Amino acid sequence: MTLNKLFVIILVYKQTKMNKTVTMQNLKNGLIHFLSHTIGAGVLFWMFALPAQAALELEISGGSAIQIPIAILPMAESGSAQSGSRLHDIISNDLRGSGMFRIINTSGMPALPTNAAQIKYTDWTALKAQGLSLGEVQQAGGNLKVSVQVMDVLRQTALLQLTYTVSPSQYRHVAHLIADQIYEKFTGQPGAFSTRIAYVTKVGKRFTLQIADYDGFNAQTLVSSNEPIISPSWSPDGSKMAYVSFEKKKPIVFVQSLYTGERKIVANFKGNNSAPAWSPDGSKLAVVLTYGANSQIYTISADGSNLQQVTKSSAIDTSPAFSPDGQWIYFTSDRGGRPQVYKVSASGGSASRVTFEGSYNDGPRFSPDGKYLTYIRNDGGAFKVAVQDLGSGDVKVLSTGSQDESPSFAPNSRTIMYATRVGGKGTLATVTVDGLVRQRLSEAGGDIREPAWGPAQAAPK
Amino acid sequence: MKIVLSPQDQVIRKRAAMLSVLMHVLLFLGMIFMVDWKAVHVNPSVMEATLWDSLPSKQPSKPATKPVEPTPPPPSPEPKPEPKPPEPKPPEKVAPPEPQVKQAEQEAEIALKKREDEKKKELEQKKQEEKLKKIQEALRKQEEEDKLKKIQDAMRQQDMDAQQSAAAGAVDPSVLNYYMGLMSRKIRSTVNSGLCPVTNPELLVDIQMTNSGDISGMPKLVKGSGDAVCDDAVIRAILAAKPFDMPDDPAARKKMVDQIRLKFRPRS
Repeated sequence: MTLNKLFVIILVYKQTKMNKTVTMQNLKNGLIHFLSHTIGAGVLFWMFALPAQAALELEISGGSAIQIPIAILPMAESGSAQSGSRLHDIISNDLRGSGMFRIINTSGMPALPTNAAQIKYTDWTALKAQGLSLGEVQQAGGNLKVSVQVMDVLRQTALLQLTYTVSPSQYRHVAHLIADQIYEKFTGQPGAFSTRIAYVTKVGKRFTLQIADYDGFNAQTLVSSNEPIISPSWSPDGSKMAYVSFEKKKPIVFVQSLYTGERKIVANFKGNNSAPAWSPDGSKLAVVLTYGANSQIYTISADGSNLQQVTKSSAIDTSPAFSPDGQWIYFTSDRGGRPQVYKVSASGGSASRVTFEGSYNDGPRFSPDGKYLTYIRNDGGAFKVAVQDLGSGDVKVLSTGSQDESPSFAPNSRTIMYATRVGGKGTLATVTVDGLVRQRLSEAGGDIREPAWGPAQAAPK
Repeated sequence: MKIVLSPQDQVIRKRAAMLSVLMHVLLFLGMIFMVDWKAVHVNPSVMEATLWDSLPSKQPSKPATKPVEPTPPPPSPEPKPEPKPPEPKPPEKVAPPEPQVKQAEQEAEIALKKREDEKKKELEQKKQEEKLKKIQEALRKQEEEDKLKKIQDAMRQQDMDAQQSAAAGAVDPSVLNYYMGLMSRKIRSTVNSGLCPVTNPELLVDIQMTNSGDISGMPKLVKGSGDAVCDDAVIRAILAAKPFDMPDDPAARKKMVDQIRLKFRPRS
C-alpha cells in the first residue's frame, strides 16, 4: 500500500514538473493508478494468503484390483463337538466364492494370533492383507458363543466386533452370518451367504423339492413326489414357495407355506398350468396356461382368484418374470420364429422384443436391483447362462456348460445360480455377474435341477 | 569620525588593494581551472554503448559524456570535407609568344607540376582510405569483442542461474515424472474400481510422503465420491500400495516429500 501511495506521489510530482500544474486529469490518472495497483496488490495478497496447496498432483485413472485380499484365521475352538469344516473354512469359502475376496493362505505363518493384541501388523502387510479375521468359539451351556474380530490391517483398527450365541446346529449358519458381515463391511453390499435356495432332486424315480443353505448344505425336503416337480419360485418375503407338480398327472401350480407346510392349488385350469412367478409385492403370480389354446401369460392372485390374460398371441409365450418394479412382465416367445425375450406391461398390451443377439434366448430372470437380466442362450449349439446389462444392453455369456439351465440371481444381485450337467448328472453352480468366479456346489444327493435363489429375508431355519 | 591616513598608511592601503585584486584574479583563475579540470577528467559512472547494425561508413563521434539517460545514437559526424582539388588557377596572362624552345620547356614544367599534384592528391586519398579502413577495422574488432563478451556474459549468467536454481532445489522434470509414474501405476494396481459407482466420480486425496517412500499419517480425503465404500476402497488402495520408490536426486526427492494430491477416476 505504501508503495502505491509513493507511486501516486511520484506520478503527481512528475506531472507537476512537466505541466507545472496539477490538473484534475492528473489527479484522476493518479487515482486510477492507485486503485489498479491497490487491487493488484490485494489479489497478490489473497493468493499468498491462501492455505498451502498440494505441491504435486497425480492423476490415477481406473483400477486393476478386483479382489480384496483378506486373511481368515482359524479360530480358537474350545471343546467344540463339530466335525467337518471349521468356522474359518466356511467363511473363507463364502468370501472366495463371491469373487470379491482373495483369501490369503496362512499355512506358512509360524504363529497365528487369536486376539487383536497378538497381531503383528507388519507380518500381514507383508502378505498384502487388507483385512484380518480372528476369534474364538466357546461352549456356553448347550450353546456356542462365537466371538469374531475383523481388523483393518492397513489402518490397524478394528472393523468389526461380532458375538453370536447359537445352538450347535447353527454352526454353519453363524459362519455365513459372519461372512455376510465381512462382505458388507468391505463392499457396501449385503452378503448373500446366509440366504437359502430351493431346487429339485431326482433320486431314482422320486422327485423332491428341497430347501438348503445357499451352498447346498442343510437341505430340507419341502415336498416329494413320484411325478415331476418343476419351477420352484420363492415368494418375495421368503415365506411361501410356488411350484408345479405333476402329481395329478397334469401340471398344476401349488403354493406352499414354508412355516406350516400347508399348501394349496393356485392354478388348475384346463390344459397346462406352469411357470409361476411372484409379483414383487407378493400379491399375485404370473403363470402360463394353455387355457385357451396355445401357451399364454396370465396373472392370478396368490389365493387363486382374479385370473387375467396378459399376452394374446398365436405364438408360444412362456417363462414369465416380473420386473422388480412390478410394471413389466418379461417372458419368452417364439412369435418372431425363434425363442426370444420380450416384455409386456403387467396389465397386458402389446409386447416388445428385449433380446436381439443369438437365435435362442429363454427363461429371463431379473437381478433384484433391476440392473441385469439373466437367461439361457443357445451359444453355438450349447445352452449357457447369459447376462444382459439393462443399462448398456451389453450381453455376456457367463457359464461354460453345454446344458445349463434355470439361472437365478442372489438377493444381492452379485451371483447367479444355475443348473448344469456334469457326467450326465445335474448339479448346481454359481457364477459371479462379472463372470470372474465360478463355483460348483455340493454334488451329493443325485441329480439336481431347477434351482431358485431365495430372497434375503428367507424363512428362518 | 573622519580617519585621516598618513602617507605611509595610504601606500599600505594601495598595496593591500592591489593584493586583494591579485588574489581575486588568482582565485577566479583557480576556479576556472578547477572547473575546467573537473569537466575534463570526470569519469562517467555508466557506460553508454551504441549498437550498429552495420559498420558506419564514417568515423563516429566521441561518446557523449552525459550518460544518465539513454539518448538516441549520436548523430553521425559530418564527414570531413575531403580536400578539394586545387582550383585550377586561371591561366596566367601569357606573355607574348617567345621562341619555341622556351615555350616547350614551360609546357613540360606545367605538365610535371600537374603530375606531381595528381600524385600528391592520390597519396592523400590513399591515406584517407587507409585511415578509414583502420577505423572500420577497429570498429569491427570492437564489435566482435562486444559480441564475444556478450556471449561470455550470457554463458556466465546461465551458469550462475543453474547454480542458483540447483541451490534453490530445482527438479529435473523427467526424474520426477518417472517416479510419479511409478507411484501412479502402483496405486492403480490396488484400486478396486468395481467398488466405485459406474458414474465414475472424481476423488481427491492428499498424502504426505516421507523420505523413505512411506506415507506420513493417513491419506486425507479432500473430495469424496459420494459413496463411502468407494472412498474407503481408494484410501485402502493408497495404503496398500505403499511404500513407493523415491528418487535418489535430493531435489526430486524433496519435491515428492511435499504434499501430493492424488486425483482418482476409478472407473476410467
